[in-house]
Amino acid sequence: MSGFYSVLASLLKYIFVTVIYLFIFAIIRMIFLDIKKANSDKRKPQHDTTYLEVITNKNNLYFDVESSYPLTSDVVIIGRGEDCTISINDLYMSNQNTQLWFEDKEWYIADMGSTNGTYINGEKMTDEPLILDSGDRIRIGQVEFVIVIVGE
Amino acid sequence: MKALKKPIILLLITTVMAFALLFFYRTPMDVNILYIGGSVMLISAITYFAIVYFKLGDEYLFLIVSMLVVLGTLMLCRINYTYGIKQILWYLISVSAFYLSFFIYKYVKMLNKMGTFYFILGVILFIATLLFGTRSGGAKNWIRAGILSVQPSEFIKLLYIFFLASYFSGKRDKLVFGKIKEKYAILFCVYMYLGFLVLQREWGIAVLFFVIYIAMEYIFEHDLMLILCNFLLAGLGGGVGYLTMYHIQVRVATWLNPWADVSKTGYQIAQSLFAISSGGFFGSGLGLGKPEYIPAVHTDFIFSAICEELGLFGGVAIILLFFIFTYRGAKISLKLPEGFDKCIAAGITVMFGIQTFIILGGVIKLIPLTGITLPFISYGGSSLLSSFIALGVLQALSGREVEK
Repeated sequence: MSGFYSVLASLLKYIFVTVIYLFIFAIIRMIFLDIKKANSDKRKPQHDTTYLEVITNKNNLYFDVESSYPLTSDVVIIGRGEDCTISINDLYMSNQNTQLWFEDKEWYIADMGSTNGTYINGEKMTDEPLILDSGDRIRIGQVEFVIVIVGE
Repeated sequence: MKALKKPIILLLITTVMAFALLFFYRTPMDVNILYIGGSVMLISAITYFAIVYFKLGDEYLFLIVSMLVVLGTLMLCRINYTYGIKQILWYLISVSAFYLSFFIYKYVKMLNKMGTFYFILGVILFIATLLFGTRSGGAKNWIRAGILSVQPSEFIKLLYIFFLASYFSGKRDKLVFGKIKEKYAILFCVYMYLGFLVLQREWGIAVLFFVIYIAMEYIFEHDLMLILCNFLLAGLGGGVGYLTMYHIQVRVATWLNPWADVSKTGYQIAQSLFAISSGGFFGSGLGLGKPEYIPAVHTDFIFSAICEELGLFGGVAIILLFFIFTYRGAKISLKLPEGFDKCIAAGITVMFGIQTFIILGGVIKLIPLTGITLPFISYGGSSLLSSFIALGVLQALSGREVEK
């Protein structure tokens, strides 16, 4: 091996390793900025429609729930079935547990004959549909929601 | 200085340095190596800018992989020039396969309904390997057709992930043949694959397949009892294999103490350890070490060669690159909604992570050595091609999350 090459290779190895580490550092930095941006986007959820906010501590549940569910359609069915508008895999829910619907500028709620019932502000619902006010607590199965009504 | 914060610039600097070094290393100097280096650089740059410009999803995956490929080809050209050039040609083919698999996965919608097809294709490939395969280094895993030789297990790996994903994303309460739960039917299929791999003596890939199954079972079904039973069964299988098969006993013995028979069975691992230790922190410098003393240095033991010539820091850099890559994969999988896509992303990520662990653990004598390639770095067309196909799928999946 020529002397020139030996010197070149021995010098370049330091630069080489440094550049590789700069590369790794640059990628980690960009990923870090990405996460930071994603988190700051997440902190202020935008709601221009009425939504249900989950207030049960999600860590105590064995199934997945979102932190909030926007009510985008006029009829919303909550239950365990996969075809429900809001489908939550909670064993204490019936396939079609509760129905919410929008009529004459009011949100109505009715239990759909579920096994474990629907609780409004801690009281079990009868078969009569009720009109919801913003801030009412709704408990279905093991999950408790607060309804936040936006707009009229 | 601001340019140094852009990973793509650093990648290009690394490529330039790598091929300039190679140019001076070769005697007589060969101008072709500069052209080859230039084309590798061009491909990395074009693909990166295409991903950023057309918003094709995660921009880091391809960057990380390009870095790994540059380091791998650099080392290969230094160890064996012919292999290195072949590997670069395979890299060009693989990048086209990357684009192809990207677009196929993005636009073909029925991939999740072909579980049985993947399984049967995998079995056919296995049987073809057993019938027409040739033996190389103890494992019967090559099919040679003219100048081309293929390692089918690299592609079965992908079929296997697709097969598992289509099961884990489907409705799992179906009954097969009227009475067997699908869960157990899948288990049977997995063990059938493992059986084929054991017949081919591909222990590394068998372990990889098993871990992929366990990981996906844990993530998507979470049947802890079943996982425990699997571990017991695998432990039993491994125990029986250890007691009955001589070459496994040799593998374990050389892992526990390679110095006992250092001139024969322990030679490879001992040379690997010598190479790593002689490198020190910064290595001997490219072309100034003696990695060619390690048998199979261009495939399984390329990490030891990197450690010798680029030093401990170079080796750790490789591990870190795989680390970020796996992290990105896991993040893509977590962000996707439940279903086939999520399973595929998780499966591919687990595959890359575990495969890297198995071979790196093997060459540094952390776990018993099993012959398996280091993704994106080891010499081998099939390995590179299948890794890039998987990368294309992962790239398409990361694009899904942007679309939403």
